[in-house]
Amino acid sequence: MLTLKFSGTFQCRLSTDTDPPDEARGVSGYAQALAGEPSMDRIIRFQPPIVERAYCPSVGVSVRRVFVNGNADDTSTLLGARVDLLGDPKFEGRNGLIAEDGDEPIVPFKLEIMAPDGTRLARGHAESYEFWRPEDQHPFQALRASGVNLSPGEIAEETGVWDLSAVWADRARRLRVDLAVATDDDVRARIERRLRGLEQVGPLGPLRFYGARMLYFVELGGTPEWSGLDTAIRRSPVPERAWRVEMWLGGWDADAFQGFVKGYLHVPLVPDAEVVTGVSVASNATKLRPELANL
Amino acid sequence: MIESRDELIAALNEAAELEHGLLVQYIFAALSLKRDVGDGVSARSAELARGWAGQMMKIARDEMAHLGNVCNMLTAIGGATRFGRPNFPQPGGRYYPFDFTLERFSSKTLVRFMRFEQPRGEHLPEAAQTADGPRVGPPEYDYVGELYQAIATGFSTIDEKELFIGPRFAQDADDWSNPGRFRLFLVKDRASAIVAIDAIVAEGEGAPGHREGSHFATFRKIHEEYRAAGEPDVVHPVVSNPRTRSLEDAPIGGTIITDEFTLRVARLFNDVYAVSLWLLTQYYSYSGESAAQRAELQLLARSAMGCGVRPLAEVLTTLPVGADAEFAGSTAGAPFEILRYPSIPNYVPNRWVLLDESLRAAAAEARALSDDATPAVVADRLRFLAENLRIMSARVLRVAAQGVH
Repeated sequence: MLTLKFSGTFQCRLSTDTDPPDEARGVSGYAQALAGEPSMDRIIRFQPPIVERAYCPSVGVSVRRVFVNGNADDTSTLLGARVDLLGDPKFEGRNGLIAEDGDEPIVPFKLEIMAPDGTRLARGHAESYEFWRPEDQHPFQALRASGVNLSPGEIAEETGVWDLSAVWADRARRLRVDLAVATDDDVRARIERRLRGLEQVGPLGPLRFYGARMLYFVELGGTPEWSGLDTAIRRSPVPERAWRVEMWLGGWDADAFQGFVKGYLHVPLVPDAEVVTGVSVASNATKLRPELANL
Repeated sequence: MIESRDELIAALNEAAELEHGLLVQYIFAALSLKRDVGDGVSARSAELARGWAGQMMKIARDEMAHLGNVCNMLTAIGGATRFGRPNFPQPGGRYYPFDFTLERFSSKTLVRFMRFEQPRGEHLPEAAQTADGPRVGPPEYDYVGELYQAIATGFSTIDEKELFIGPRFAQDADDWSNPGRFRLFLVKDRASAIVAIDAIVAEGEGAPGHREGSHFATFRKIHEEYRAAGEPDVVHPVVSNPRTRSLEDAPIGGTIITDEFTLRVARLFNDVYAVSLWLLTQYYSYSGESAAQRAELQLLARSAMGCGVRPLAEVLTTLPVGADAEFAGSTAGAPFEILRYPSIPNYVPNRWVLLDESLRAAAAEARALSDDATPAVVADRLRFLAENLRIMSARVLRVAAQGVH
């Protein structure tokens, strides 16, 4: 079994209730694109490019540790590999229509690991997505979060942020310094709007989401893709067996539109050094929500 | 003076229509505001406009809660919920003591909204459109607060033991996923009715000497900010009272949409709006649906409004109203027409069947329109709407299968 532990910061610029899920600018929800920023698009981005805001963390998810059959491989070329979700994945909650807050499935779900030396693994949950099987209680049942729990300590230890309100206060302080010297009225308007968002620190404000983790456990049964593993770990995956992803997303920073993700990818390996050739598949480009085509 | 159940029901029906009409006018004006730079809108103006729109949408949400509270009062005394209202426009004095008209955001519109929420004794910044004749009563009132005062008097006058005959479990005290921001009261006796009424009036008018945070004060503040900013051009050029056809109950006024594509979108809007009124009617007219079915009705009503009515209303603010010279540069806006009085089948299982048929028909039309739509952002929103309507249909079929308890 190949197990890759990954973590990092992601961005998702999504509107929030009571705005519609396809609201581009933000009006009645707390999430708002500042005037002149690109519209919100709900896409979960593990890697740049992102829409950056001043004094916010950079984004990037990467492999932190590599285990082969339970043994740590601290020299693997997969260490530091970039981790990405492909196909413009989104939290498909749609204000409760598909799932309530915290339960949202990530659709589509295709994970890619790409190392600097070209070693690559990628696999999706499925080749096509069945919206709502008769035997399932919920739409996209297999892709829903398996639960939400409050884990402020775990999140703080991973992110290094033990008090997001203090981080926001510091950001606000720095923005006020910028505001004091800004002469362009449009720049001033954007800073002022952002400051108003950073002032929402009450118990019903978006800070309350920071300590929550959404838990996911997803089977990857789509066509497996890999290359370079013969060099990286001298083994290859068992093509017919599903891969598994366990991960949590949490530490939501509504000002930055960012959160933290930590997880593991488990890939069953053939027991000996025999190398199986990886499968090449077509582009991951998707049309607007093809996963819902079978409604 | 309200002295009988019948008179109290009539006054509450008036209040229900009034709240419904107010919230629709607020939404129409709020959604007429642009939200991003471009078209000559600076970042400063866009942020101001977004802030005003957000505050007006919040007030509209409060009015939805008021409507829910009025439904609870009606249920409590044996009445029926009411989600109908006259179409727009209505001149002051015909149904209500002030003009009811769908108009875009402007100084004049804001003053009109202040008039709706005006406490007796408070002055308006400039002359508002006022009633052109006495309202045909009863109930007779010049201010919304007066109507609620009359209702409160009715609750206080009529024998409490005889008045409260409705089932409490048929009422709605949920926060509709807006904890702390959407307040519905269980009305079980005279005292709880008065609490609900006082809350409605306080949100609208505030209290003497303490108007801050009330709807009246919020509209006044927006008006002051708009004037102070030099009344920037941040408004889509939507026409007043867009409509898809002539209307019997609103024969004078209105702008008939003639652009073929816009007309289809406007008709779709009316269909989705009708679905949302259906869902609210069924939700508030409890007839033995299971708890799960009621929860589903609430979710579907929320979705129909938030994922259907609002996106379509926004799209319509960008679509041309017609090719005639008089409409040059003008856009449509949402018609909010009620072409059939909201009613639902008596037999509960049939409700799900008809609801599903309406949703699937609307989904098919949204999908067809998306194929013809330009620009891409309009096509994307219509396609997304089609998906959401199909999801709602799937949910209806699921919940219908759960049966009636």
